[in-house]
Amino acid sequence: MKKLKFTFHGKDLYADMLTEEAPLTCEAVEKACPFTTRWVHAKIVYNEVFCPTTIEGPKFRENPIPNVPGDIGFYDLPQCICCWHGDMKPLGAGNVFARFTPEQMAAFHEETVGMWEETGCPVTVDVVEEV
Amino acid sequence: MSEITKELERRIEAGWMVEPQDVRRMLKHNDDMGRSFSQWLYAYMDMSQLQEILYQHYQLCLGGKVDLETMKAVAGSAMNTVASSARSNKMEDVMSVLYRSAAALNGCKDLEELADLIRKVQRFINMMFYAIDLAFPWSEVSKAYNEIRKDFVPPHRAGAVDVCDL
Repeated sequence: MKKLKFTFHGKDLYADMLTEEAPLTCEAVEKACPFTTRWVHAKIVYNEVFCPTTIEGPKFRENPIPNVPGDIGFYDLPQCICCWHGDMKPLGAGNVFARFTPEQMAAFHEETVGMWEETGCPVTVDVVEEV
Repeated sequence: MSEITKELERRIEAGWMVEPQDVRRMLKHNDDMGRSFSQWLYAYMDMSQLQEILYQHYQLCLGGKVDLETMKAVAGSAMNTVASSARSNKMEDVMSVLYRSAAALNGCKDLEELADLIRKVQRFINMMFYAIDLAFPWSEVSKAYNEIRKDFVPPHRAGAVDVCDL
């Protein structure tokens, strides 16, 4: 299984890529990796962070499902990867292409819960094979 | 790749992890009058709206069922409008890029070439949007806003209906 890897705060955090539900998006993300960007708080949804990318992905929402904690989506506009974590209420249905397990999400939440104050934290994004 | 698209790619890469100078110029503008927050807000709105509008134009061009000259006109109009605002905000590089990109639209031979240029401009504005976002102290301002609004009571207007009553 392919894993989406986020490296920040000196740690590697992983999510499972949904290559069957969103094959085109996963392919586009992998093609662009690895790259370095910054975390930005989404502002309105309580526990959502996103990072700008230069991914040229599908011009449509390949897997538009209501977002729940643990989901990771890609938006061609504005070309960002969004991560929903912890306790949150979704705004809508994003293009979900990866998902944290509960354990992975707990680790991610611990590192990102303070992002409202810590704006612009650098993060490296990569796609790796599960070992 | 044309000269303007090469320049757009360079600027996107240059501003990716390092704050573009335009952001500093914008933040300092009107600081002496105590109005730099307004500058930030208008710059933020301009970048947000332009990148969304240009994305729609990009999609329309990719679809291939629109008139080339019409798309040049609407995309150019959007770029020129925000270029003018960027001048007011002291974002001189954004102003220059947008004016020159709007002019470069005229040289596009077909919708595919036009889509490519519009996409590059949209991605540049997208980068600027994030840069302006990251320059704002959201947490501190939210606290101050909450303090200002904590005792706020909406004024009653005679005849006004609460939407919950409908």
